Amino acid sequence: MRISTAQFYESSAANYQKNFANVVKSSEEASSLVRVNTAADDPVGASRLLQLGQQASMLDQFSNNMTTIKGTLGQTEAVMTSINNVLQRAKELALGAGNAGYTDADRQANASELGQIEEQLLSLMNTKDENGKYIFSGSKGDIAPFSRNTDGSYTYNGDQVTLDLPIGDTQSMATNSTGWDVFQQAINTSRTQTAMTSPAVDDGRVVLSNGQVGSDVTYNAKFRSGEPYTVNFVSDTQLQITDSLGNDVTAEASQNGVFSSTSGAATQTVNFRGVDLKLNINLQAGDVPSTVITGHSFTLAAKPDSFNASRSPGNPSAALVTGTAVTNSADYHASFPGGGAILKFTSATNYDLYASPLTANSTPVSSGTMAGSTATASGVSFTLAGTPAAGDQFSVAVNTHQTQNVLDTVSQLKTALSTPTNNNPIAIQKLNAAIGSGVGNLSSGIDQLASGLSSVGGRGASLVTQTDINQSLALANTQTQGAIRDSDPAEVMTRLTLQQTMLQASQLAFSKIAQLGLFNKV
Amino acid sequence: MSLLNIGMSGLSASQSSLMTTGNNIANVDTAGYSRQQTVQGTKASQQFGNVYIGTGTTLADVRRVYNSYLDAQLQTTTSLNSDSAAYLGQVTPLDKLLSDTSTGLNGALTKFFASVQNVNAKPGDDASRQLLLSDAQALSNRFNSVSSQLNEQNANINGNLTNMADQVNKLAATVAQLNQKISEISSSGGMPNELLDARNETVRQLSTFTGAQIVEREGNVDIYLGSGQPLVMGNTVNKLEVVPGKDDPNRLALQLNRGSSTIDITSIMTGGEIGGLLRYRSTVLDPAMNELGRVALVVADQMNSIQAQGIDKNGDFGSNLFNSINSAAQMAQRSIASGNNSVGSGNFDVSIEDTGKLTINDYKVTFTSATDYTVQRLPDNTSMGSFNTATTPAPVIDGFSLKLTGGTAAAGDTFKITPTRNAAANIKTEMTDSKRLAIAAPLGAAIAAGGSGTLTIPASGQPTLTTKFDIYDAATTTAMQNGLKNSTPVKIVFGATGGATQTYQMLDAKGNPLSSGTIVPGQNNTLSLSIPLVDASGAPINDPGPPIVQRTATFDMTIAGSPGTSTAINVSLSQPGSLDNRNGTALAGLQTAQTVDTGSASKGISLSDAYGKLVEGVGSKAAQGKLDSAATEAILANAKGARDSLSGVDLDEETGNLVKYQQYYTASSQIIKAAQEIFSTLINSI
Repeated sequence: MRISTAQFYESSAANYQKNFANVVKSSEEASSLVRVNTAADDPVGASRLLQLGQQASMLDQFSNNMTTIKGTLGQTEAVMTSINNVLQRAKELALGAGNAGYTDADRQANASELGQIEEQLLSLMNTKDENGKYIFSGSKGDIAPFSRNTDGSYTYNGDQVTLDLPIGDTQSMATNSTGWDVFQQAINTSRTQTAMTSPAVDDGRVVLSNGQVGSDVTYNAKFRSGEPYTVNFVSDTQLQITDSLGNDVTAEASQNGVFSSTSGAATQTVNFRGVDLKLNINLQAGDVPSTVITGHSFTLAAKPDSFNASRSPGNPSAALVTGTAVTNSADYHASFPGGGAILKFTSATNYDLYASPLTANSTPVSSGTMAGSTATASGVSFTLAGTPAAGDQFSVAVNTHQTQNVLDTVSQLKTALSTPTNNNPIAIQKLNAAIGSGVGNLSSGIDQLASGLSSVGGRGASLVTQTDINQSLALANTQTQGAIRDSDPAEVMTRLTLQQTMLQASQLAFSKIAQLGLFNKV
Repeated sequence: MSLLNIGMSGLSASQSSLMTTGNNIANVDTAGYSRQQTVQGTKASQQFGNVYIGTGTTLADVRRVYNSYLDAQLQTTTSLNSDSAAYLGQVTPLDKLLSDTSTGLNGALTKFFASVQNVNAKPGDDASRQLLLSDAQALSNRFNSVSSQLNEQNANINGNLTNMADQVNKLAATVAQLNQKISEISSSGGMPNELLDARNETVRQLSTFTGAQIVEREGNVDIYLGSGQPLVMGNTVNKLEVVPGKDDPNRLALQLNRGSSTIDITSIMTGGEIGGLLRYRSTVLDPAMNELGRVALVVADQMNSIQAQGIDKNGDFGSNLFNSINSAAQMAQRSIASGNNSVGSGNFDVSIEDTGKLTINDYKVTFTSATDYTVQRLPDNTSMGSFNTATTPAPVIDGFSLKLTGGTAAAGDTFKITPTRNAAANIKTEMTDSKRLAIAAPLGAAIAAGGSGTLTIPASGQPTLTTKFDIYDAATTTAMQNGLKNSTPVKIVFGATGGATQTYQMLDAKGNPLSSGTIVPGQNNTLSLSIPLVDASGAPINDPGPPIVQRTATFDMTIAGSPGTSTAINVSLSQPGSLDNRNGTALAGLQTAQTVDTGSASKGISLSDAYGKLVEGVGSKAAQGKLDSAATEAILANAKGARDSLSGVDLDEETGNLVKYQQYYTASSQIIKAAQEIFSTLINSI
């Protein structure tokens, strides 16, 4: 085959360029050890790398979220443990105060320590996290979850929303525990009340406590359907209980309603449909039991919702709300704002009821006009003392008594212990009933807190497992990415050496052949 | 005497051969030169009695060593190689642009979603919110910069096309002139080797610019482009012009001007650099711009929609994060009226109704009458159906709808619809106040205090708003959002326990019943409830229809357990400053949600997958381009080698020839010397 001179030089130059370009590319790859620099190097691999990159970033985010959750769980657990310790101390104080040997002064000392405990509890339950948001408020991070009303009771201002963060592809975990779950749902063991209906003036002979719910199941199943009950003392040994329809249900009371009037003022327990009632017979000198005891009667029912209406300091008039009562149960259940209401007067007689908080955009839930000194709105009537003026606002807090916050428990215990008994047996019996109620509710609160703690612990354990899973996934991800993207150093170095050799050979060949030429020989 | 002539003829023949050899040596580096050889022939012999004695030699021909087949092969391989080289030169920078993490889109998308997750962890933190806004800004900037690079590439291609067409015209003119000269000289019996070589070389240079079919006809070379349009025929030249496309002024088109008429040959030009650029533009650049635009549209549309469904830090419904994709300017930009349309035909407003159904194709609209038109999907012209401009609401074709404005069309008017091409250049981050990021879900449920029973709301059971606000109908959306504010809170009150089912009633804030239903206690129950919307004064907000129907907002929630009698759930609007993050979680879910190409059989792919597809597509085309380029280079080298092997000058061979012809010359001069001696012997003997 004939090779022209121009062809020889062109093909030598082209080959040299090709070899040189290969050497440069291989040396670049040797220094970076990355095989896939652009998608053209490996299109399918590049697309897989993009997907793996996305998975890696999501795993990264999951691990960030888990760190956040660990932080909040740690703080929540610490606060809850402190609250638990405080509550245990409160329980000790309550149990100790029931000691018969305590004097009023001893109980006063316990009461003042309970007062300190109450403040401590309030401050612990209103803990803020490092961003200044309250940890027990649910999603209302700027509003303190627990606030004290004017009558000393407490209201929960937060909500029930948990803030979830994803920690795995299909798994989310709550970062917070709401005050609703941890504190508000503690069952109130003292949610029944008794009221003496006869005789009109309490003669102190028969003292019947408000009752404590011993068995929730029995209470919910049987008690609620028949209330309100009437307890009649038909003789000095027999009491009779009738339900709301008039049926005699005494058979369900313990010992068939038989009690003793002769054992002094010792406390007897009557257990009826899950409620434990404490009965004390206080006979005075010269009493004939059968005449004195017979005829007493009480009503026994679940505590109705109670309201606390307080006057706003900036009110134009000095009117106060002195009494509240549910007058229309259907209206009340249908429209009264459960989270708190504001009663606002537009004139001396016209008023509107709003749900709190009251904002510029609020619309009234109901309106009305005063009838005498009573304002009725959404089934609740408020009795006012004094004449209201336009612009008066009263904030109304609702307590339903089905559950009780430990703050309320401690507050009520403190009030009970501060009340001197002056060794009056009736006062002492009332005190014992109050202490029993307080201890029962403290236990209930501690139980609720314990379940909150175990939720925190459970989440923490789950986090540990999930962290391991995510770490393995991240490791596999990195390895797969490396397998696709990185080049094998041994292979690259071998290739580089080979190409360098080829380059040198082509240089040598060129120089040798270029010297040949007939022109030089002729 | 005749001996002298014989010697002279030998001398002159050798001299010509020496000159030809010298010519070859001098032209060793001339491009396109074919080496020449002399062909000698004998002169006619004279008759002397019974014998014929020859009279010397004559130069029959100086011929060039040339094979037209090898030459034709060289031309076709030249145009193939230029085609793939031009294509590779354009696709390689695009591949680098898209793959690189600092210039490509993937890094910005990933960082944006990581910021969303950060905000979800601490929704009340203003610093995280501000970071999210910055990352959104970075994302839209990245879309803009990639898009502007693509547009620049288009502008480059346009510029290159103009230059190359100029070159083609110059070369064609040269060929025509050479044709004329060659036919003049050939008709007078000559063989102008240099002109033939020059013409071949010119044609070869033309082949680098465009693929051409060469036909030799009566000594002329005719050049045909594309599928047979003549560029050069004999002495006449048609002009190749580059003009803005009639259908698409942004993309220059090539047309052949035959003096009396012009024809558009853009779609049939293949080969050469022009063919490579055109092939790149239609198979890589346009689909890449459309795909990038589609991803931008889905990003803007989905994120804005999710924003409108949630509550921001101020307690209002969220506003747009990115600018609206259906602004007046963008809607008009998506339709291009053909330059041939009748006067006063107006233009279409193209509004995107469903970003999920968008494809990466362009569309062509042809009017068959003043109001009826057909739509075809390019590039394979699939018919999408016939429609009428009077239909309301406008029909939705592949996710977009068309509305003719600003004039009336006539039969024969055509429009080119490019729904996604400009979206990546137009996307901008509109939100500046990080408080307006809607991270909280609008509705929250709380069990009212005082209930009995075991009712719980699981964390995933909190109410989710299922009514989707249409962010492109601002009036209705604002009315409904305000309506939701005025119509909440609502209360769900459960009836008596004790049966297999339990009834519930939904009441408004004033206690009026709105609706009722039943649940099965003890199981998870999902409630789907509708809140009728009222305005601030209590009047219902209506959908004009017809028929007139009150607007409602529906939500789903899940409850578990057995509610006691009269247990109630309050559903209310999220407060300002809420730490709820359910809407933010929906926004983060976009990273893996199937939002692109939902009309296909696979039910759609996620945003990152759509971008990944784009990168992979361009990458595989670049890889293919590299292979093509290597292959065509090898083929070209072979063809060149074959031609040079035959027609190229070899200096060693020419050196041998020089020596050879020198000897012949010396030998011929000896004949003259002998003739001279004979003459002088004859003269001296007399």
